[in-house]
Amino acid sequence: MRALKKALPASCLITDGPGLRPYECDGLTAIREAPWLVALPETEAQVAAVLAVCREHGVSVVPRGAGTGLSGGARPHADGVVLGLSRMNRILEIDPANGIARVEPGVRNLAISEAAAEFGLYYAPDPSSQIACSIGGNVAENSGGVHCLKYGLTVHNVLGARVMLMNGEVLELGGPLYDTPGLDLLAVLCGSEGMLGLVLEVTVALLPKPPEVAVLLAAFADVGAAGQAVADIIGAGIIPAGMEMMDRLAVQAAEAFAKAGYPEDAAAILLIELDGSETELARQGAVVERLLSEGGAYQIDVARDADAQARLWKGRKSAFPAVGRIAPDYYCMDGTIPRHRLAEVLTEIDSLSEEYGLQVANVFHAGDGNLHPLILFDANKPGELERTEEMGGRILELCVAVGGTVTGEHGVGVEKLNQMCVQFNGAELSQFFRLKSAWDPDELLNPGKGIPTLTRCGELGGMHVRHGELPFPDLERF
Amino acid sequence: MSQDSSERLTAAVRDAVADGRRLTVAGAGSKRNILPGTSGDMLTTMEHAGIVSYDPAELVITARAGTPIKALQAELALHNQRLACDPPQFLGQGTVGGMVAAGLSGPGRPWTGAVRDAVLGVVMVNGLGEQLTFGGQVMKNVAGYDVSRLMAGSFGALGVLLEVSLRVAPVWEDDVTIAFDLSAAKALDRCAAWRQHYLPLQGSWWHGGRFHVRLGGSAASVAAAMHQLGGERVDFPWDHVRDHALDFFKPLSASGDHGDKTLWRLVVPPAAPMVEAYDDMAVMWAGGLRWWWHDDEEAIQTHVKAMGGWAWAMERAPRLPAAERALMRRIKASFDPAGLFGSALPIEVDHAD
Ligand SMILES: Cc1cc2nc3c(=O)[nH]c(=O)nc-3n(C[C@H](O)[C@H](O)[C@H](O)COP(=O)(O)OP(=O)(O)OC[C@H]3O[C@@H](n4cnc5c(N)ncnc54)[C@H](O)[C@@H]3O)c2cc1C
Repeated sequence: MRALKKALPASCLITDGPGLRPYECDGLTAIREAPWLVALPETEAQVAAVLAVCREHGVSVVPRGAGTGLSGGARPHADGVVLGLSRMNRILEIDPANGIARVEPGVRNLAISEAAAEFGLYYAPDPSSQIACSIGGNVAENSGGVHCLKYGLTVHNVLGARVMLMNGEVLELGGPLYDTPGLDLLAVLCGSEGMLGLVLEVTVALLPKPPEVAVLLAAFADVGAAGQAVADIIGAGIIPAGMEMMDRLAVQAAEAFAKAGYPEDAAAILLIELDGSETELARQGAVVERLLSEGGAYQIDVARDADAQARLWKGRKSAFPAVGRIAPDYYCMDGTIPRHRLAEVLTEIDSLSEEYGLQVANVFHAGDGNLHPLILFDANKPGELERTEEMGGRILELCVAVGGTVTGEHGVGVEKLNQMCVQFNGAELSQFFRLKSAWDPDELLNPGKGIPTLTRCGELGGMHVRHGELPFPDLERF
Repeated sequence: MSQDSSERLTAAVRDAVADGRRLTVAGAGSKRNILPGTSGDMLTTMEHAGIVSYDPAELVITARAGTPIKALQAELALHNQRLACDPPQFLGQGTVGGMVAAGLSGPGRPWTGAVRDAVLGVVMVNGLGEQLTFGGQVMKNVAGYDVSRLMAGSFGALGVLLEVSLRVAPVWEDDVTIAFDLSAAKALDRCAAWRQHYLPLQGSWWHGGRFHVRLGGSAASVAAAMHQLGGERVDFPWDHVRDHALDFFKPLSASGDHGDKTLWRLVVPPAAPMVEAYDDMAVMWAGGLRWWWHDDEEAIQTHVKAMGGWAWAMERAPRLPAAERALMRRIKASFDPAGLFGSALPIEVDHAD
């Protein structure tokens, strides 16, 4: 601590109890731990100094952006340092001629689009948390948003990053460049959950704003029909800017909260955003409307002006807090499934819901198959959190069983370590650990996250059988 | 043409591990003449071919590594779809595995994305002879490190690709080329201005005072863009740009005698200032990629560094900063501890910088 006090101004260190409290958890509030201390560097030199001290004393470092992560990626260690990058929040450059912005890691996602707006440009990935979450956290989680079906995830919209390794080396990856030599380090960095390197600067691609936008709402009496309509639209060669689905419980919660004008009797609604030139929109809109009504939509509303569109989106974007209002607590899951298995997965979730006696509201990035079941529970009822977590685990395993994945955009963190044992076998997990060692051989950067140890999976082994085989046939304990 | 040779390929790697032999993985060998030479026995994935799964409504196709790109495209075309990237295909000879391993991008790169952007999952054999699956067949997946995308552009250094899942996209309703007579500098000025407008741009090629622009998308958006941008509507062989089959790419051709010069590939910020190199230069990616026949390597390196980019000549390895190169070597060792796979990945060469 003495060494750190020498390295950083007092205003950049938090060492006392109450000051540490906001850093006990990220957006996954059920899992908490007070860190030993929090460092909030303002410059790259200060980051380097913190890492040097931590290296010398073998202290672990947990990077943190805005702390909105939903899988415990920024969860502290009791004997470790939380390295918060929120004060490195300058927009260094908006360069419309090259179509990029260069920003520090603590810059909020939405702030980039706000700064680029005067040039008619914006940064496309728009997680619902975009007013709060940081671009450094977005890179670390490879975050998505409602527009990523058409415009891609973080990995598709980040062209460069300045990265500090745990050993203090600085790498300048990519830039305003469309290609890089050698291995694509930036691709692995995206989604690496702060376990490979610290993101100290990001170059993002900026896109021109589409001239016209239309938002359609379609109500269905049957969830399966809504899912089929999504497939029909894509099958017709139309990639909407956004395509979201909500089930009855999610619709009712959102309507009560946001008064978006959603039909509360619907079994499912679809929200579809189309963008482009005026004539393009008119033609696409006509095709989409026809497919929706042929597919069984009993109500279709089209919002053409910005206010009506904002109102329709408001319901969706506030779905999480809305669900938070109808139950004391909720637990947000994040599986991805091949879209054609949707009806089957929702039926299965219904039966799990009955089995556990817990209600589930489903919010679905329908275009790309990313499903967010929100399990409603009451943490004050003894055992209910544990039951919720167990049920959540089973939902994720269901996603893997139908050919999907345990996490589409929220990351593994500490939350989904057990489910990783279902998705990956021992050889794959070992490969992940060797890859991690290549970046951080002393395992000081965000240890214990993202990838479960073989021992952990071994202990779960009895329960989790993949492809009908034991996960680690080679391990001696079997 | 559909055959599953994954067990044979995995066994071949295991045998090489046991015998301490080196291997070089190849598809059809279509890029042999643009890459530096490698050592080791050839292990070709050619016969491990066929489409494993494809559901057009999911926008995902999974194919074995040896599948010819041509076959993949033919299947996609049946369903009005195309690859969601624009890699060189060397006139259809290349394989899907080679396309991903090389990770090269054609003229559509800034708009359609790179190969890595389209990769969703892989099945591979690492240097320990282990068959591993990463990523999957879904669009969004952040479980574990993104090894699938790391395989794109790894030139076979990390392992043998057995199977690849790729994101696909609908075909454009219209595909039109417009041309302008413009100096390179003026062409780049236009590109910079267009970057602020919502346009269906899909490719650009400037050479010898002629600037070609590809528009692709819905008929309505292409028509609107043609009206907005002007120019002259022409036919243009974009696949020849993509596959380096235009005369410009040939050392001795109608477009000029490049003599003893080497063809350099300069990746720079698209709006970086243009040098007027006339017949010796061609520009793609709205300015972001510049091809330059040149005889002085140091001059090229100094020039490209000043612009904040990097350069690569055919049959040579690009330079890498020391820390990056060291990290790439450690990553290579994490997949292939014994150094089984020889490859064209530029991590073995030490440069002074
Ligand atoms: C209401 C709500 C809605 C959300 N909606 C979405 C959504 O639509 N889509 C989506 O994808 N996510 C969503 N999220 C999740 C979350 O906002 C994203 O994961 C976001 O990217 C996290 O950013 P952050 O700055 O808060 O990172 P943090 O939570 O602080 O950290 C996340 C991870 O990144 C690492 N990290 C942070 N900064 C750095 C850095 N500079 N260098 C290296 N590692 C770093 C941390 O160690 C941690 O592992 C939502 C969250 C909430 C609370």
